[in-house]
Amino acid sequence: MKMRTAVLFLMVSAVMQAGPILFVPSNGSNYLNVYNGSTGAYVGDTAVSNPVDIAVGPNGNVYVTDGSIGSVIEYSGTTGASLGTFVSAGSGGLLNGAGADFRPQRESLRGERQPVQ
Amino acid sequence: MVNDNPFNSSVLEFNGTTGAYLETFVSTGGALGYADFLTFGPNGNLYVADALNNQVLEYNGTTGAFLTTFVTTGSGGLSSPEGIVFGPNGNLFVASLYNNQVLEYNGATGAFSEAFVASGSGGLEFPDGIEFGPGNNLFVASNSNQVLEYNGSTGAYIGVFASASLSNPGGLAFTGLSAAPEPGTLLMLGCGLVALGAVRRRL
Repeated sequence: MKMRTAVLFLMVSAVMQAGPILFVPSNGSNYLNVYNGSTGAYVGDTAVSNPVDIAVGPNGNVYVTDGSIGSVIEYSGTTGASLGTFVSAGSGGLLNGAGADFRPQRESLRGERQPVQ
Repeated sequence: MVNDNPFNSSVLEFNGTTGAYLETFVSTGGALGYADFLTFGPNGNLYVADALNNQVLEYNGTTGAFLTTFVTTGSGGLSSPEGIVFGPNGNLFVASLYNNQVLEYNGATGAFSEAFVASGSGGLEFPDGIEFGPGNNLFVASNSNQVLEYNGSTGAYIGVFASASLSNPGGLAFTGLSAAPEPGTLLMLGCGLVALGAVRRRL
């Protein structure tokens, strides 16, 4: 019984620790700042040029717009590590990236059942 | 993925997986003055803050066709809208840059509801990005180099949430919000285990 309680405690702790993360483009310092999403404590930062807005993708990663050259950079939604350029500068005539957002996934509305792998 | 282009006021669409350019979703030459932040609504439509004309425009979320001026020019004192987001109550919340407020509008009609965060509350200066986060509270990027937290139901100021190394913050985003279980979930988990223990003891 004690063993079972201990295992349960560890499981609940693990879930609780995978808590929220807050990402804030710091436009004045050219960094993407990362904070603990529960406490606001500073975690770290990643250098980025002229960051303006940020959007969370369906894959859980975050996407930051560049307000000067018109590009979008992708970062890990769990660590903040840079994953490279997502939209290249000037793509499609993008001049200065501003707000960005993902269209909500519509698959769930269509009620389709995905085949089991 | 949709990304706007403030200086020629258009909204471009990119493939959400590869980042490849797809199309100009909202073209120049319409009602849109200076495209700033944008968001999709609960109805799937796209809402774009027009910082030049102090309004919020609504577009068909699939075709990009202009539907209506959802928040009319200067409604509720709107002055240079920045961050826009739909709240847990279904209403639209808009950061009003030049009067240091967050304004609330009816999520269905766009009619002005109230100044949700009063001007300068908690030291709010030139709000930029806004987002509902943990506890359904409202988090606002303030030009005072802080992220400020407000009660998500009342708009009352709670405190400075984050400020370290921050300089002129733009938008903001939370990830992993669903990873932390709600207190109700934990309570049900606890009840389930007590019940399981009782059943096992009886067997």
